[in-house]
Amino acid sequence: MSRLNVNPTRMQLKTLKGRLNIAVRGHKLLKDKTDEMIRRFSSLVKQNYSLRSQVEEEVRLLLKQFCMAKAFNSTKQISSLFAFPNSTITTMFNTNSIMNVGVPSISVILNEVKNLPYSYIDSNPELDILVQKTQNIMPKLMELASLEKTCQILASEIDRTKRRVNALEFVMIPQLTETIKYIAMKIEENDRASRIRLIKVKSMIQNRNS
Amino acid sequence: MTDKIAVIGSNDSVLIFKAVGCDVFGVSNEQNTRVALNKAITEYKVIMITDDFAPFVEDIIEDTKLSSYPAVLVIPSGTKVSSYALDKISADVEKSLGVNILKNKEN
Repeated sequence: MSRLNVNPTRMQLKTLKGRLNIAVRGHKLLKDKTDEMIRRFSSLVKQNYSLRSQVEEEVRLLLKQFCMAKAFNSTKQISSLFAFPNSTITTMFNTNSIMNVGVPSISVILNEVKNLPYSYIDSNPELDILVQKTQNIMPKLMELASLEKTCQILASEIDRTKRRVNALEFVMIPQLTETIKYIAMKIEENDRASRIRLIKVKSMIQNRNS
Repeated sequence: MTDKIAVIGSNDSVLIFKAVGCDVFGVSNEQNTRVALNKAITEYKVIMITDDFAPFVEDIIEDTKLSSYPAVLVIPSGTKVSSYALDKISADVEKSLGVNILKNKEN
């Protein structure tokens, strides 16, 4: 392990000891943060997976049925039928915080719809049922959107924090420890050298005087 | 950014979302998918894209991953069965935890 390129002085020793203290504390905090994030992530991702499997099946079926129902009318006709939707869902976008990581929270307020956005004459019954189904599926889709985004953000945050923890654990802390040890030994050696020099000088003076 | 929802996909399948107030972008190839998604990213908070067009714009979706909004959600297309989105979740799990804890669920 390479040590830092610093002058072996008492001043440096004090600074490095301070840095090591902060690094150790930071390492512990980040490690705790990673553990907690992993705990939350693993439960969220399981939720996400099961919700997605469920919603995907419903959406696939819905879109498939729509393709069939649409066959009775042209795309232009359908497009004009839906041109003025009586907006049935109100979405609220907020941001939550998980371990100081901003994650989206989307809530949907489903308004009870009395009428479809078009006259029954222009459409076919299957289409009417599918519009109702789409309205019912929207809250689930929005929940899935926020859950999936939360998982994505947490996944990248866990990855980033892990890198930091590893950098502290395997690079910074060993480097600082080794440099501190080196400086302490160097200072001790200088101390011993000057002491021996003094003893030597003292004995030389004594020899000359006697 | 508006509080509306954008849906990108082939006109045949996603037009139904127009009935619930979503803005639908009908696309047919890679180029207009890119144009539609780039436009939607700046204007909408939630964007849904069908899984037959999502692989064309994977790089743009990756870029939006770290911010809270816009949230890009991949939905099935209705024309073919694909495990694109579920595979993405598994890849995320493997990347962050080092092991795929969803493997038992998949089997």
